[in-house]
Amino acid sequence: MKLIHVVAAAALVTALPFALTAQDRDRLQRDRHQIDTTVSIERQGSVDLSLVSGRIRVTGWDRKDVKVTASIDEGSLKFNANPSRVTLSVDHRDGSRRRHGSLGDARFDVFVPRGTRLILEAVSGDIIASGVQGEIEAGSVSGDVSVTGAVRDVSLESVSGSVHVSQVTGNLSAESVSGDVRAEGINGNVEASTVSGTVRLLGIQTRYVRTESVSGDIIYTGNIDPAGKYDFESHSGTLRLNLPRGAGAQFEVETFSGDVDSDFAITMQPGERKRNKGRFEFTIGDGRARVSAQTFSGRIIINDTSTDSPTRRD
Amino acid sequence: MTENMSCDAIDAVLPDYLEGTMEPVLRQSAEAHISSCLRCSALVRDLGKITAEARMLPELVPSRDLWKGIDARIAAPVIPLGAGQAAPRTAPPRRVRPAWMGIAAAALMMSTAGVTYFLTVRTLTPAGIASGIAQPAPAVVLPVAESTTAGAVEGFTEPRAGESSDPRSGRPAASDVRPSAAGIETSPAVRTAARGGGVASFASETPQVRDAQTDVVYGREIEMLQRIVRSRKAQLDSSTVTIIERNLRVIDAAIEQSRAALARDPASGSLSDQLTRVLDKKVELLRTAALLPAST
Repeated sequence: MKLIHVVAAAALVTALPFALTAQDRDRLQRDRHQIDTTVSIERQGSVDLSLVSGRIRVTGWDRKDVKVTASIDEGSLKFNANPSRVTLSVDHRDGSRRRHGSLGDARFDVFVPRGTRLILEAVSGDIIASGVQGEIEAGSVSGDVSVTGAVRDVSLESVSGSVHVSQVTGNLSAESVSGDVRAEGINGNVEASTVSGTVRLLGIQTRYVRTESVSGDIIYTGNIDPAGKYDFESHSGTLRLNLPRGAGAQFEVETFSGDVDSDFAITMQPGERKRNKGRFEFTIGDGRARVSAQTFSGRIIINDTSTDSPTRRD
Repeated sequence: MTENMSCDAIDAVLPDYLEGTMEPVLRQSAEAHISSCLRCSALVRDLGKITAEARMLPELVPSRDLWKGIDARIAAPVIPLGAGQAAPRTAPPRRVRPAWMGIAAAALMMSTAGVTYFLTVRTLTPAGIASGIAQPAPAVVLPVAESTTAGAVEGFTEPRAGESSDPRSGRPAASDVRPSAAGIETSPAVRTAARGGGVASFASETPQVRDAQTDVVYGREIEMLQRIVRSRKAQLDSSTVTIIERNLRVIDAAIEQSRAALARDPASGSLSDQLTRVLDKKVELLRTAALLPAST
């Protein structure tokens, strides 16, 4: 009898780990499709999120933890956290591709301490980040990218989606191919480009702007700093510069076949010249800033924001 | 206790880090930095992607031996430049995503020598001239006939028989100046160059010859990218392909318009710059298309 008991006990001991492993496996499997957890992160740590389709939403909050709520229809989630970095991505290598070829949507809702650095990537998903007050690098192929409240370096890209960014204190780079780029309330250097979308820069306080498009319009409403340099280029899009009356800048304006409209008097100073048709150099105010506006066939409109200009449009 | 490394230090040890050959202590320091640095963590992650994606790339074989051309240019006699003809063209340090950068580097490797030469010619600095620095001479002026025609280019579409693709592309002499740490760059010389007025040119180089060189040099790059893009078409989502193609057509139309205007006024530096800008856009878009993740 004793031998039987010993064998039974041994069998139980042997089987127990396997039973636990099976439970763990079930839990892990469940966790791979859904995550709801809170982890701690160091001050100014980084959070790296990427998915194929679906949506990433990141919100800054006053707590010191990162709260992650995520789910995915097909495939699995890959989550990793250490005190300085949290990563979450999707893994479709387990045969989760649907029959019609698309991938399951994933939804990431993440709260991060303010100041956290973000790296956000999506293929066909939208990206939304608000109130994070940290550096942000975000890109989506066909989804929209929307960021509010960021600092230092902010880099945003989309191919066909729109890029919308506001309340940035720092350097902004925003690019799209066909989507619109809209930046509001930026205090820092701004670079924005698109092929066929519209670039709208509104409420900008900067010493450096560089924007370019091929067919898209470019609209700038912002300051002209005496030490600033402002470049606007488009092939066939309209350049619309809404400038404060007190602006002082030396302008180089050039268009091959487009029109030039200016609320400011285009007065040639000694040494300045109209080099040829469609090319002007002129000065307003103290002429300290440099403004360059160039198109091939697009209109160039320079508005005085203090007047009710008929051509003004934000 | 490990000492956190700087970004520059990470750059220096990155190959060893990726290959796992670093000393444990150094590796610990590197990991500490990478885990806390946005830039470096993105770099490491993207390099990982590059490694994975590079395994899927077809083997690239150089279409010709580049050394002969390089050798000829090195040995070419120096032609002095006139004072005041050139000015620096400083391009803003564009943000480069490492994953794209790596693949683009591989894809563009074969056309780089010519592009570099062309860029060198177009970005001569006054300081270099003033100090008598020898500048490469146009040892090889490729005949215009070698240049391809100005037809529209389709990124995803195979050119028809007998129809060559758009020849001029690339980012020569980006017409922009970025503010330095000390302030905004407003050098008149720079501004002149940025607008095309100060492009360095050789005594024997007419605008037409320069444009022909541009055609040839950048044509290769754009053709290379188009081949890659075409080969990737099946991997991309059809709606993305449609958008890319539509925007390539927008750019092609701009190229055609600029080229037609330039044909009427070949000496126009501003039109030449305009053409360059839209060609830049085309290359940029083709690179984007070439490096999009699969099934997008």
